[in-house]
Amino acid sequence: MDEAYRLIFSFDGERVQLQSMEKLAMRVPPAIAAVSPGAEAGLVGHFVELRDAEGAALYQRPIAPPEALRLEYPTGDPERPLGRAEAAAPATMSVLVPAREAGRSVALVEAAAPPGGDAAGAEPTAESAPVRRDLISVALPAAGETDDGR
Amino acid sequence: MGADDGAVGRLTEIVNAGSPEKRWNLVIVAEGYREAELAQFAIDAHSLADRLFLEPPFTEPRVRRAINVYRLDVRSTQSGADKPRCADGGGTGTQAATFFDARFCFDGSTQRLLAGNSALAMATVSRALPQWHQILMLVNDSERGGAGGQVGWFSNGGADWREVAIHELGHSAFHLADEYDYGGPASWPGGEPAEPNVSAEPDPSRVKWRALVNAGPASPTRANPDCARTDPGPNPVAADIVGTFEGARYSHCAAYRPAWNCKMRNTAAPFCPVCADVIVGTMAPFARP
Repeated sequence: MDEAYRLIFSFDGERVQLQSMEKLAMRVPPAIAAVSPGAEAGLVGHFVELRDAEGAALYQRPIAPPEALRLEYPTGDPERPLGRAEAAAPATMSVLVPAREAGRSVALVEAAAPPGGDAAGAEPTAESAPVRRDLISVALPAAGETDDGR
Repeated sequence: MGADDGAVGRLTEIVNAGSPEKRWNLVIVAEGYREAELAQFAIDAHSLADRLFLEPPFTEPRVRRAINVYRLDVRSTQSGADKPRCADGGGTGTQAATFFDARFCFDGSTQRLLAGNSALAMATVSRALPQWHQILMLVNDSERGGAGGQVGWFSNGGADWREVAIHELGHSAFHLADEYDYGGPASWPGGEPAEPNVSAEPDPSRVKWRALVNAGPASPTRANPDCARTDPGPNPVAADIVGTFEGARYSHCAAYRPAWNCKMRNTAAPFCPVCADVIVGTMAPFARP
């Protein structure tokens, strides 16, 4: 039986906060490495990561930027049929990660291009590697604990 | 207005590929449908599911057998959505008492931006089907509008709302990037995008979708001759060629897409081979017995 954690986060304009966490019997989409082999290094964007006790990523997938609710809408203009707008906070987002025995935490990660970084980056150097930071990191319940940590 | 303006009804399986614990589960939710209009919602939801499975690669058995589609009947007190007066001149100032409080001009300035209470949508669907993967909110209004996102919002008022919904699925379910090249800086500012269908790498032999490239060695396959505007073409290679085509992810230059055209660039086009490959790969775990 496959199991997963669903975590729901909110963004109030300043901070990403965990709203709920639930363990479910369900499957999750494959990690980015399975869908786009070799592409996981050096990427810019936002990701959800399942990490082990040492902080190593066990599972990584891109997510939409949680800090802002950027919405795409049909414009009705045949020349530019889709537009984008930024809606006011709060935003809510759900992420899924597989429930694995070695998994200890879930993080939402932002990876940004370094200032002046090279645009073409199939093999990033130390200088061109994205600058990564955790927007939030959440500990998963240890074996035997309930999802709310009891 | 909000959850007091209606009630949650029945969850109905439209497409049954297996247990929701094993499959990828799409839930289409009614918004702005009165009790007497829920039969129309059933027709609209079925038409979206039918359209999805006409779109390659969703036509392939290995993808079809991965996907369950449900509709969730939610009754609203009134039809449609709020239409506040909008900074762009749209809107009539009318309000509709609906369960998820959908409204046009969601950002206060863009009339066609139609969305509502996505947190309530997630909570409502989670109670009905905890194993959901994607939610599409179908708003019963003749005015064209919508919003992409993890919870997608669409009115049933435009002729192409189903195509736009499938494009938005490309984002939220498969993390595909927009391949159109307007709405951002003229040149992509740098870094390799996380999405699998856009790249800062012009060389087709090095780009992340190189396994699917069938273009010649030219790097890029097609350069945009004028970074101030969209490449007017014509496409220098056959329509099914995969290579590196400059102009993607809101920038005219320095960002590359895999094909001349794709549903992620133009909602009327089919998915390009790279996007189709990502969809098939993403669905693979859900197709297992």
